[in-house]
Amino acid sequence: MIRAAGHACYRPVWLTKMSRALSQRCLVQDKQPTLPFKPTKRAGRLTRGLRRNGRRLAKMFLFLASIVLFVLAIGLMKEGASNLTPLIRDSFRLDSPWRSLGFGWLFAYLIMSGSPVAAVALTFLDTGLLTPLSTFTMITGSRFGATFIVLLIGFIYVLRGRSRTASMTMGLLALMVTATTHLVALPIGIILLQQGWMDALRMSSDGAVGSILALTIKPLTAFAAANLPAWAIFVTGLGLIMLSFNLFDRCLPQMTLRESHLGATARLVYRPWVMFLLGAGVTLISMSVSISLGILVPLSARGFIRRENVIPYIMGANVTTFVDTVLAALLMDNALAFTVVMAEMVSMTIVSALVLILVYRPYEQTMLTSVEWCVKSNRNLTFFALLILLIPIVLIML
Amino acid sequence: MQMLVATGGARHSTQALWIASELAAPNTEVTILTVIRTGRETARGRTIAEEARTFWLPDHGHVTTKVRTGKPAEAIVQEAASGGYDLLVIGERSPHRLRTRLVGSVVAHVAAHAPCPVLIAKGVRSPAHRILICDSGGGSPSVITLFGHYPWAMRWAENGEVTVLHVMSQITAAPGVRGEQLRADATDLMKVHSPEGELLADDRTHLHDYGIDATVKVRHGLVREEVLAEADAGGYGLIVIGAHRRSGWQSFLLSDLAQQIISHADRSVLLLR
Repeated sequence: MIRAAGHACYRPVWLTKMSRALSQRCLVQDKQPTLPFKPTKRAGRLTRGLRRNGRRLAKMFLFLASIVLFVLAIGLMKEGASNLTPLIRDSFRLDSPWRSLGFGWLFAYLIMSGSPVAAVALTFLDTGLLTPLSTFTMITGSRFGATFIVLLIGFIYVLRGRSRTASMTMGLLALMVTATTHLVALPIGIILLQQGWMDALRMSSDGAVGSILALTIKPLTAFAAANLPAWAIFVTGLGLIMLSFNLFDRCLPQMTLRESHLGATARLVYRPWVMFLLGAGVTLISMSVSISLGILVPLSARGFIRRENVIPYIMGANVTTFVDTVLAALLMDNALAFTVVMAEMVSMTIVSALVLILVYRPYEQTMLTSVEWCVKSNRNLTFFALLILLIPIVLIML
Repeated sequence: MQMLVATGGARHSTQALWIASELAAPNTEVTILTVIRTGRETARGRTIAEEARTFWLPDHGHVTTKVRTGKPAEAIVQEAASGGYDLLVIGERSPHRLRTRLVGSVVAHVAAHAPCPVLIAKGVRSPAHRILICDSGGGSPSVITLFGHYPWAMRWAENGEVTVLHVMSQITAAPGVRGEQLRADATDLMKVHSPEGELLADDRTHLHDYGIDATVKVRHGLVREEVLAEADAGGYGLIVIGAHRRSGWQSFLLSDLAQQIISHADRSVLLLR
């Protein structure tokens, strides 16, 4: 039984534990380190220096580990996907771009991340399971599903009795901006691919990278191929890619901006293109939309972020979110995969630029009004949740 | 009080003249400025200026006319800077939005560079009956302090109804943050002593010290949209905003909300500095 915000509510124990675990994962924590003894001044400085260097070394190690795991994961997924192709072709029938759109969408829901699904799409392209067009739509679907994690966290807070508006607004805004811009970019990207206008943008990893991969990764993938069934190789690759993103997340500095100058500047109203570039830049560096959107959390110094700044920031993040997918395409040594990903980036850039230049104010109003409608009542929110769940299912069944 | 009224003879300038004549006190010294592009238009410029003079009744203070040559925006700003005026009044034609964005407008340039308060006159002829003062909480001194600095502004407020508006544009990014303040009205915010509530309470106290009994309001949403919506809903004739003059990286990176309000409002806007 769920009551209105502010009242005691009944919830199952498993839900409480899961929500706490998820909220710990997604919220920035400001933990103060504690020492087991009372140090002298010099000893304290030395200890702090050692701890700082130790933390830096640990982060460097995590970064290297995440890169190695990422490369290994791509290799394993390629190996596994090549043998799984007949099974997936018969089970899911991804021959239609609409079905692959729905598949990528649901898959991203399942694993609560878009980048691994995009990498999977490229491996399917590499094995011939997907056409370039279906790969394009599957990657697009992965973007729709990727914002689900932000919504889910908000929804769990609603179940815990928090304000619906406070909990859901950011997630809904991220989802709506992503969905609307990708929907408009979809036909543009399809035209770019079908007309061959992106054919000039083909790139693959050069001989040096290939040689390094042959020496380091290929023996591991060969070992896995010899000892594991195809589905296990694929699943292992998928798990490793998620682990690599997780490790990469831990490498990034903790942002504690409670009342810093940066927190204060977050309250100013910036020009839309400035926030667009900021969102693109932060996502380019972090290679994760969940990080670049999650960083809005510590930036809300008093707990608030200005409406005027959020939407262009999300739009920028949606352009450079494909950087890790570009890397995956290069590692696969598949020039066509690179072209498909570039078609995504180019189409999103075109749509974002057109919106920002020509129709930004009406677009901004529409997005904010839509979000307000969704959070107005439980019925509206439920309707919206059902919609984003049913649409990918319907697409798969087309 | 010294008032500079810029006119080009067009319909929007006529509207500005009507409004300026309504707002001017009997002892106001009015200078009517017409800017012409070249010397060949001198006769036309003088005609426009003399026609504008007729808007002022003989007992309405001293009226002089001036004709300057050059680019209108720059000439108006130069005259405002050299003449020591208390208020500059200018009309605005309905802007072609894309053209204004690409080329810029005279009003935009004047609003950005004039050294004195600027009244962009449009809409009703007697705008000072209901005044909406928009306080963002930023800028030093505050818009209320600036408003109280000008006796002519206080005279308008004494004869009309004054409302102070603060727009909260924030949304939460953290699920754990209390969201009640995002829907609260001014009374609730003042009760809980939130920063916005404190701002509005201070504004009301300051205006009360000036002898003005003001209403305070809070709206939630996009700043520009909410200011314009409140002005429309409340039937205000005059919107008062502060000019946050920015330089360097700030002018490059930050949005100019004052300019957006000026270009989208269908009623008079007073830009204080």
